[in-house]
Amino acid sequence: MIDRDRVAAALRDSLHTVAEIPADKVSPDASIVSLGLDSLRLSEVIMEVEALLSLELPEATLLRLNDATTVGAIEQIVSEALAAHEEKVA
Amino acid sequence: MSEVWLDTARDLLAKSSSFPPGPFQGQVASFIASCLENVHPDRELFTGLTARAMTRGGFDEARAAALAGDVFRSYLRTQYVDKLLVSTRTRDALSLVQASFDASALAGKVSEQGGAILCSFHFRGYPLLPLAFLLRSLPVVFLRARPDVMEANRKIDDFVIYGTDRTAPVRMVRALRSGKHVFVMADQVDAKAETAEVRLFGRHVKANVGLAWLAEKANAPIVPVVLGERGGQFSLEALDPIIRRGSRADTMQDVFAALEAAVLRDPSSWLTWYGSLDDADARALRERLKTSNDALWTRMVKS
Repeated sequence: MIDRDRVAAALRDSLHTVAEIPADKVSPDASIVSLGLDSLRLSEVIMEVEALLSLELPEATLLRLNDATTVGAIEQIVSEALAAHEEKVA
Repeated sequence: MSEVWLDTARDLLAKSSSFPPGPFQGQVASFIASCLENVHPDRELFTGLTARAMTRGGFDEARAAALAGDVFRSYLRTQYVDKLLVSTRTRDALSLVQASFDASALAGKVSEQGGAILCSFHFRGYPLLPLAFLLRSLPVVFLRARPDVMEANRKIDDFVIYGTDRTAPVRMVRALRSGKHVFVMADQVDAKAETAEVRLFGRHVKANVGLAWLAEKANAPIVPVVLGERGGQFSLEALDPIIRRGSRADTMQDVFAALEAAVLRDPSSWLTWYGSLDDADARALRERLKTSNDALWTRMVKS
């Protein structure tokens, strides 16, 4: 089962912590570019999300994240990785 | 203007059993570079800005003008001959690097560091540098490169070259934390990335802070690697490690101080003098070079 709410919360927290983006600006449609996330900030957000979810994203997931253009797309990709991880350890 | 030379260059390269005897010598290399010197549309702008940057860097005008011509010829050989070799004749490139690159001092120095951020600059021959790391079995190499070059080199024996992309910093931090090395070119500015102002030859220029960011996140040293060439023989010199300090701008200042010292030792080897001007002319040249090089390079690579 995909725990998308948990991922969305982690992503919102990370965006706030790393990039000081208020939670109310973080909608699924928000584009990564409009939030001012260059590769360093995006990477920092990803590492923060990994820490919050106690998950190391596989390389294939990182490569998929290269093509994500919105917050919603990131949520979806990370949610799938989390589900796969939890299924593996269950 | 006829561009028969491109087809001829490809034919020469295809028929050549090796690329003798080095990237800056031999008929094929000389032929390609001399043809390009005559047809490259940005020659005057490149040499003019290079000479201006050198003058501001402390060279007298006559010496700067002479050196600027050398820099342009080095640029052409590096941009075209080396990249053509690396992308189309990878095995020959590896043989060449094995025969002509002395990386022994580098390997010894780097191995003392644990996971280190190897950084280098756009000196003559820089596209061959990652191959030297591969041959020295430095475990992870990240290379900012063109997709076409990447495709040709993604898998060489058991080594893998990773391209830089938006999530590459995550993989680089992981590699460093696990004791592997990563490689980054330091003296280029991406307008989309975070930058800091540093001083270079007495002027303020923008520097990407990626190196300092990596050093901070992975708690790793930055080891500047300088590529030198004499008569077709290359040497790789590892400078003293830079340990991050203060702000990211402070760390980048240390990197650029190392760059400045290396450039002053061998001024005709640094290909991007014009970048030190950091003004509208330099930015215009950077854009024009991309367009001109893409047009010429794409035709060669597609062969």
